[in-house]
Amino acid sequence: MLEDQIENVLGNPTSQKITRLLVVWKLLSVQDLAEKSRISKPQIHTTLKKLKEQNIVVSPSRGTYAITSTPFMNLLKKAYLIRTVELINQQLYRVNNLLRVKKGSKTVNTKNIDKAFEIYNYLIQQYDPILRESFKHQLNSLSHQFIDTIVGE
Amino acid sequence: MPWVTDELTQLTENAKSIIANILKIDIRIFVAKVYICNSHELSKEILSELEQSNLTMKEKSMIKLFIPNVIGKYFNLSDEIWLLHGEGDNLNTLVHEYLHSIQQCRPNRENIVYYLSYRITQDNSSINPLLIKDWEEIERDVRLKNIISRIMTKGDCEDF
Repeated sequence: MLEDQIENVLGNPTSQKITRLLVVWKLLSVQDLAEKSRISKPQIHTTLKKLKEQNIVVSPSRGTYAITSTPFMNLLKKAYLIRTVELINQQLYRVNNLLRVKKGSKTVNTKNIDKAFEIYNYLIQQYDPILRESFKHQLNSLSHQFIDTIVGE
Repeated sequence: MPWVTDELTQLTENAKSIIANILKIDIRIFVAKVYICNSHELSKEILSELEQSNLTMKEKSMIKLFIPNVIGKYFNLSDEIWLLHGEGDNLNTLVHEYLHSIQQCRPNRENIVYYLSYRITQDNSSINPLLIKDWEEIERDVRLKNIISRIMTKGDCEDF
């Protein structure tokens, strides 16, 4: 049973993606999963069916899905969250660097601003609940940085 | 209207004291008035300050996307610090904004304040660990007193 769970969650990229999204967002519909993962709805339906059979995912209310609270899934959630926090820190650091005025320049390069904005939007789209919960100060600083850059300070 | 509480008054005294002690600067330079506000008031005030800049519609729309993330702000024109109720009314945010209130260097205003706030509060939950690494290296090279001197003088905040 446990081996099947591991195989289903870790051995399949689609399952991994769906599981990660549910860890971050806690409760999502098929529509939400499709938008965030860019996986087709039929494929999501098929994967969710398998994940439900393996007691990895539950449907607490009609049309929504969440991770089950088994010892294995709780461990996996922890591991995913640690890795997600690392990834977010790396991306926020990247955004921070893109928004710095480099030596010899007076302003931030427009391409860098666009790239920073693109990464920021991706982070919000994928990880908004975690950002709101654990990255408030970084988001505050980053927002000041963006505003300064746009205003040209 | 933004407001003041007894807790905020105490927090303000603590923040000024801790910054002055650790950075070895005169506590009397912290003259900015500090208030707590709600999100609507904070957004309105940020946008009002930005009216002074000549921004395009596109730039204003971009800025509006970031305003919901702001939990504290130093307003240069009024020399006031506003802290978002329930989110920004804490030592971390206040120390950060107090540093902005005395900051003379620009551009690259944010990281130096970010790092000094961390040095003062020792709260590593509020700062990117990769940034800590960068600035600890800078501190090893140039010493803390030069970072403090950098924030208090005109010029690029990252030019050591």
